[in-house]
Amino acid sequence: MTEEKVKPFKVEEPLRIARLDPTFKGEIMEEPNAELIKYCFQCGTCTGSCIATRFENNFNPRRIIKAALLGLKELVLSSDVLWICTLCYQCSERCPQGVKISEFMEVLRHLAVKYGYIHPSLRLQAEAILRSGRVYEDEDTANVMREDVSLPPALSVDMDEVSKILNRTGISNILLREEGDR
Amino acid sequence: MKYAFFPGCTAPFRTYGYEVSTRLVAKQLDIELMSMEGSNCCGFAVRPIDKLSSIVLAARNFCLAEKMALDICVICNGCYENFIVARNGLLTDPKLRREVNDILSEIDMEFTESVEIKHFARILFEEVGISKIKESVVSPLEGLRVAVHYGCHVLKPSYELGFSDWENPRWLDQLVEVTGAKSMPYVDKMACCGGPIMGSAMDLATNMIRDKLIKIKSVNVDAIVTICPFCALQFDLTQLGAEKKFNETYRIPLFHYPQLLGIAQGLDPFDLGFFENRVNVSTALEKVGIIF
Repeated sequence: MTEEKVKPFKVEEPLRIARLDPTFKGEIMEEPNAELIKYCFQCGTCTGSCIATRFENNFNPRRIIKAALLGLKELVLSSDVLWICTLCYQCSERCPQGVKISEFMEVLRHLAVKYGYIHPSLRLQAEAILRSGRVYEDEDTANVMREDVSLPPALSVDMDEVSKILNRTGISNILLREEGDR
Repeated sequence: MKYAFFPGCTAPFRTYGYEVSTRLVAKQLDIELMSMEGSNCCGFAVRPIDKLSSIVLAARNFCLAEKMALDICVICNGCYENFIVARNGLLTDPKLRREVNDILSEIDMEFTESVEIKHFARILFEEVGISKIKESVVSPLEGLRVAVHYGCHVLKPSYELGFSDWENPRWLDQLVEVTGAKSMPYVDKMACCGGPIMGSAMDLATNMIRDKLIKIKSVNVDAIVTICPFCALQFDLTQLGAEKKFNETYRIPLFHYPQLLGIAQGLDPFDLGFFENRVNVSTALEKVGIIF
């Protein structure tokens, strides 16, 4: 089996000021729950606490925060590593500055989505929910298995209602976005 | 005791043994689990893409439970965390609440704070209580050594879920030990199983579970016990993937907690859906005198 390679997440040094987007920090701060990030003093407790980092050193929360605050917008938003966080909250719990880092990773994901960088697996999941109101759709197979263990058939989702509310949130438009869109 | 039962997406579609054993154990303890007709995904799955959609999906489920005048019982840590984070958001952010209620008015629903969210394992610990569970145990699982895995989202974020003992909790170990089994300490017990990235980074998820399995194997246990269908899939299904990928053998059976309690209550392992578990459970069951 070949290992999927994660694209390296590297801040090129020396930093070229011209490559930094000074507006990115402001854009981040506009997102809900993002403002706490200004208290980050780069101690690295997050990375030290991170389980995923042990197995994939391209995923390094401290480095991602640094790159984001420097304004390396393209690097951060297009990067594979944004989708590696398991959202285990170990970093958020341990941050000495009270920064909610897992939540900040979600903020960066939302910004990535805004610019059309949607991880394919999450796109598939969201499409399933738009179609059927839940992640798994093969009710017939599941019901055969469920009968084996004497479980009643899986409940049906009221898609009429679910479609009505999801039409209002505009999630289908979000899914239409492509890389580089605004 | 009566709850609106929200099994989520993963349990009813991927871990049948978990759902069926939950229902059987609940019956033993006089917990009524009522179906939530028409309910939808908890919202966790769309949260990385659109937070508003995830909260709206959660809120619709709250409204369904409110119509039943019941609190919600979940059996998935992901549903648990997403529901509570969504509910906290609606309770503390009036603008968000107005926005969500405006959308829900489309289907004649409105979020109110009446419905609370409980995890089945927490209901057992807090509402039923260890002593009543002990009374229900008829064949203690003496000599069975198990590795307990809580799963992140039943403990964290502690500031949202309201627990103080997220780093070294004991309640699930107590729930295990009341069955007569012994909860064995192991290195990195509180580490994430990798479940949430099974979709986006399967290789990494496999490496993460392999590490946990090696550490669990080193303390020589008969089974792993979980209370989340996602963690369970990692320990059970991905265990087989990791064996193949690394050409190693772990063969540590996975028990959903209600299955463990169920056999201690004298329920039939066949009824508890043990045959649905991927890693063979017969050696572990033999240890407590059950031929399966």
